[in-house]
Amino acid sequence: MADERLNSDWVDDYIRGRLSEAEQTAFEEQLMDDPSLQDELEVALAVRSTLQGVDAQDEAATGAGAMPDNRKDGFAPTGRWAPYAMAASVVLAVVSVTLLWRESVRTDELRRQVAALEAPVTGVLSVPVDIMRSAGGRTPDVILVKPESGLVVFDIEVAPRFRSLQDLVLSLRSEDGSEVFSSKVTADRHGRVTIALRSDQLPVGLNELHMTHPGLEGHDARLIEVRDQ
Amino acid sequence: MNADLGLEVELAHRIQSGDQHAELVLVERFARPVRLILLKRTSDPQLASDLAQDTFVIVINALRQGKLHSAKALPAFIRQTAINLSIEHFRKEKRYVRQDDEIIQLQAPHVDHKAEQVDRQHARTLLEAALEQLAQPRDREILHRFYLLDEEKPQICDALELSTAHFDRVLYRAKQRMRELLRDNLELKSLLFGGLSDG
Repeated sequence: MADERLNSDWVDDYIRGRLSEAEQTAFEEQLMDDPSLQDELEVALAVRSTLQGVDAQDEAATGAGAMPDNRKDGFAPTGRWAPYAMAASVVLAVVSVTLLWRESVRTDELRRQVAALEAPVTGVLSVPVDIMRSAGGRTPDVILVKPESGLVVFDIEVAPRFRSLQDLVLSLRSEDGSEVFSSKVTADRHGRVTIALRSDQLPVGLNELHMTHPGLEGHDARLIEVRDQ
Repeated sequence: MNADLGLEVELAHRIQSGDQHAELVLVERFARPVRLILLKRTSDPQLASDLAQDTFVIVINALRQGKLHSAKALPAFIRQTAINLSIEHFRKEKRYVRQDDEIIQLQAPHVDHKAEQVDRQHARTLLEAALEQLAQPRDREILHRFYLLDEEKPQICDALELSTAHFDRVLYRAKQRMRELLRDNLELKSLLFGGLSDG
């Protein structure tokens, strides 16, 4: 029974991303030759997937979340694009992707939010920025060819340690170090934040998307290479 | 463990000698953990299954050519190959994003929407029924906070005013119940794991 409990906790730590890289390696190496650990992992993944699946269905039925007022109030654009940023940059609270379905509800919600801007937007480029796939170093995490006009929407996965915190500071800095925008944000219930920028706000080159919190040390950063058409 | 090590060394040597049956044994032995690791990393049963297949193609080819320096490292080699493939997949997938005239749907191949609606409704029924059997509504809140909102046990216990023993019981019961469901409900298992189901 004690072994069962240990395995169960270990599995939960693994699927919730609580293990260090070395611990994760040790877990997976054990998993390769341990059928009881495989059973435990399969069950835990199934529980999580069931919750995710039902959650997704609930979101699909009610529509994606509306933009919370506190996020609008918290927006503080900076940098030389600030006047344009205030007109066109909006923090969108869009529900996260799910195990099974995610496309049409989020797209509809994005359309609704874009229409509410009453801005001459010809199109929307949606750019997912996930934390778990980063290559690190100076290799860009995302390369995007920016449209001539329209919005670019960054759909950002927030690191677990930041997810439950209010008023995260999210900023985008260009290659020369200048700040494109800065905003206070809070992750939605799925641990994601969505930011929309006008295409002409995005500087070409290697930009850094930076997330931090005043009460925590360290920061999360993602490199986004923007190219012209 | 020594017996397992002996088997892995033997498998590696037999595959290098051209023994196709040994290749099947290798896949049978390691397919499940590889798929689970990939499922955890991708959250996509179909993708996990595809990457698992690619993993074994690469591993078997490497063994045939005698490229594995130490047969003892076979499980680690298989695991690392799977992980490298998943990293490479996401690098390729996320690397280039171009504008279209319409809003780009996120990872959306063309689908038949009518069929999708029917599938979705059926899946919803299956999942809701499973969730009802996993836990009472109040206990579902515990599971939701723990697995989806990523909250810690002390935080959840404080917020919901429950003991750690209660928390542990809820998780234990949900997992026991899921174990039974996976055993008895093949349709649910297929929905959750796609082609990854063992047996």
